Amino acid sequence: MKLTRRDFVKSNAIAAAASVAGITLPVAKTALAAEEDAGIRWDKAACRYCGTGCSVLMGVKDGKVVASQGDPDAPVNKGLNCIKGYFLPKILYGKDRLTQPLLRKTNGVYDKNGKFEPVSWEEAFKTMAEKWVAARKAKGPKGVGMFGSGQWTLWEGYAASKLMKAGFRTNSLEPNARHCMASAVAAFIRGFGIDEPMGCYDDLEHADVFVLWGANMAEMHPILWSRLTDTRLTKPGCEVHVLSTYEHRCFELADNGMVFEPQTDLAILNYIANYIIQNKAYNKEFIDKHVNFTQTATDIGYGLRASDPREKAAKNAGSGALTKISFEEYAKSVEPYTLEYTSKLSKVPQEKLLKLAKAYADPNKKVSSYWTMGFNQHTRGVWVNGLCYNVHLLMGKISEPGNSPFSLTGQPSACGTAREVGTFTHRLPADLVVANDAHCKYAEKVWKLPAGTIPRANGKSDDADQTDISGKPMGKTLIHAVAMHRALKDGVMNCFWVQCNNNMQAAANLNVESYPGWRNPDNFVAVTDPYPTVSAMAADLVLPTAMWIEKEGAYGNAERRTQFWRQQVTAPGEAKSDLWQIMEFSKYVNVKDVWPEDLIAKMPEYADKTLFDVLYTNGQVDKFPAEQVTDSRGNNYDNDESAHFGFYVQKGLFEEYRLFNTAEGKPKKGHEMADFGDYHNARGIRWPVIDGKETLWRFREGYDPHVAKGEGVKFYGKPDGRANIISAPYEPAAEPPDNEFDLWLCTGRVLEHWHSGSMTRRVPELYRAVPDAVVFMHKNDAKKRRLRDGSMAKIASRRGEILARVETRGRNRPPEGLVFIPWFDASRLVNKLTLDQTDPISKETDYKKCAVKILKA
Amino acid sequence: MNICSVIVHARPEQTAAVQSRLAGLPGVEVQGGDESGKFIVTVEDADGVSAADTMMSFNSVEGVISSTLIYHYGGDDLDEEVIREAN
Repeated sequence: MKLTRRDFVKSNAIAAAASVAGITLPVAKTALAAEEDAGIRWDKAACRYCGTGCSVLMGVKDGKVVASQGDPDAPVNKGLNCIKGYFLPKILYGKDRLTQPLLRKTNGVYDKNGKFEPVSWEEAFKTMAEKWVAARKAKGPKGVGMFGSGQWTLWEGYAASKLMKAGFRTNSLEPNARHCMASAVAAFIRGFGIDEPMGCYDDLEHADVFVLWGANMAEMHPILWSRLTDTRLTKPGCEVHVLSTYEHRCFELADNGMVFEPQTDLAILNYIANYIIQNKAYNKEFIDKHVNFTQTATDIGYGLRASDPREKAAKNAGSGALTKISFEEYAKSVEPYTLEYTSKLSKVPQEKLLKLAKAYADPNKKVSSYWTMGFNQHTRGVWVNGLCYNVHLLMGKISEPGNSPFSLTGQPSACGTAREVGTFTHRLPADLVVANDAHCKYAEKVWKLPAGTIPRANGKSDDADQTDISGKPMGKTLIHAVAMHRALKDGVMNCFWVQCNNNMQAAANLNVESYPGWRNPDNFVAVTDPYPTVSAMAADLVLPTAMWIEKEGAYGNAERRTQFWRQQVTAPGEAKSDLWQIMEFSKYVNVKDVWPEDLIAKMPEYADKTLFDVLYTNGQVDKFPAEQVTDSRGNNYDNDESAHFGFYVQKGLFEEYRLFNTAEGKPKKGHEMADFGDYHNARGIRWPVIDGKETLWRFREGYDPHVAKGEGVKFYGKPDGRANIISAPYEPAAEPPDNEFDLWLCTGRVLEHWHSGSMTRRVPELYRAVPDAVVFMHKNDAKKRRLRDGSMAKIASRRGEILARVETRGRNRPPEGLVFIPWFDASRLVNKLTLDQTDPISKETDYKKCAVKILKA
Repeated sequence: MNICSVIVHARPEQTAAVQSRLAGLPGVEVQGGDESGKFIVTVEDADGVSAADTMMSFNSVEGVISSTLIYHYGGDDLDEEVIREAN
């Protein structure tokens, strides 16, 4: 019998699935799989999309990716892969990949209103450096800004942090994770004093009860959903509770599905706490030993411009102040949240709320709570994250297998790069902050820079003003993501560099803030992108980049797992990785251009150097010579950055970064990581890594080596080892519907498209499956407006309008009074409608609640 | 040309019905499963329909709780003969 490659491939495909599923099939179906696939080089990589952190095996033949499979050795996905995983190879090969730098020009010179023309890297960086140095001198530390990403590799984020905080002496560095994770972070720091979840994905098999709060895992985290589904269908007594402001795919598996009125999640969580206290179900021993009770300041506004009447009316605008209270005072604060009151406010039937409260209150049931953007993109996001911890802490259901309040992430390295490396305006690596003079001094020592280089939050070191390049005092230096677009519009910031995200499409209130900011004639905006996205097209300089496995990389996922991959293929044309761009650009800026004389006087040997010299050839980053990268099977891999710079760039940056989280004398413990080489040989390792061993559950003796024998539980991020239960009330949303704008608008994602669609919309199959964003609405709401399924509707808010087709029978089923529109579609930008409201504490945007009206188009 | 394998979850009592619905789609073969509602299908390009389009339609097939891709091959050499050395 003649055998073709199809026979072998099919046998391999079936064998891989059978092994992952634990299903035994007849031998004939899988026999050929035992034989080798000729000519394919397989190697692991962490997936490019969501925060789950699946490992995929990529098959490369003749320099091109030809095959992929879920990595059977990966603890996260155990060989599973989601539909977006199928398209991972294809995202590299879109027809409109950018392959050379493009600068807007007229008659051969830069012109903001000119047309894009190809330029050399040298011309690109020279032009950019002139603009940056001028803006930095004229406008102070906020004159320049960089907007990065939770999709940056660890070393890209780290190199960017050095370039901005140490090189340009500015804290105007933010990641798009500000739009996504900032509320989760602030709640971790307030509650536990250290960032990121205490549990891990192993809880998906250990829990008896799952509660989803504002997370559509079925579409956004399909692999975790598949593990959860497996547990629900095979474990007796297992139950799934799903809460959302509209019905989505997770409701198919729900034993208790609840659709609640937007913003009333605050009340529902306080009701559960009240139920636990009224029924004396709380774990008294646990709270006596391990918990403090506090009250957060209330009436804190909505993070709008200070001139907005809602901010002027707020008593404690922007305040995150905490006051210590007693258990009795806490109990009294949740007393108003009775079953009757909460049911009426939330519109969730009483029996459903009761069933949910009972699940949390049952001492014999292990409960895992999951949430994503429903909690985080919320003008009370920090509060609502905290209210969920309150419930878990009251019951002591935390930091052990199956009992796990778990904040999921939306990006592959929101945790690893944005949070752990600390690419936020207020942060430094490993939970250090620029508001703390001692933290800054530690960073300066590690970076071999003069004391006082890094701008402090208040512009003062040792109580004295830091001098800026202009000779004036540095002043206040923090600026968050939403404020950056406002600063561009107001001309406070004149240079902006966006890497690895599509912020023109992603940021709220495009018409009023984002677009006028970018196109302000005084401003110079550079965008690093693999494709001509909405952001790239709105920029003045476009820099083509190497994507994902076109470079050696590392991501950190939501369960503290750090994963590495090798460069698998080469980027097209002149495209260069974000890391290469950050480091190469630094060669065009001299220390004297951006540092004042008194600072240079502390290290005169730096006087005639470039930023590249002082940041990246400091004897640490360039410590390891370039080497041939190989795997344990003897395959060879390129490393384009090392070849260009002449040293092993990724290793040098990672090992210097480790001085923040692992070296003796580090200011904060609990973030320890393993050697660079260990990660290339593992399917990820979860920090803290102590003596080569990863940590699955933090803060509990027996699981976490930082908790000594006899201590039981210790929340060691806090000085007294106790977690905070933080009382916070229900407060209304910033822009509820009224007579004119009579519907809630909620935005979000769909399975087929990731974020703004810059990658997935270029894959023909995904494009065909979901070509356009539609407006999901209730059929009665459609009927009232003389609309039906498929009719074109005009959706208008106070800020803008878009057109979209009506969908009343789709996968998302909103209740009357609410509509849902996904944000992936560049041809109908839903952020023309949204309000640039933020959580006043975390500064994270709320994309889930504003008011719109809908008319027949 | 594409070949994929997929693990599908259905509620146990609906498994047979879901399997026959899927088997009716172009390029789909059910390869076997277990009593918990989990089974394996292969999906290939068929006339005018790519394997990807077919897989993406699984989520709208009644009774499918989840479908998970495991393996994908997209090379252009599927019809090449493979000569095995006799041993």
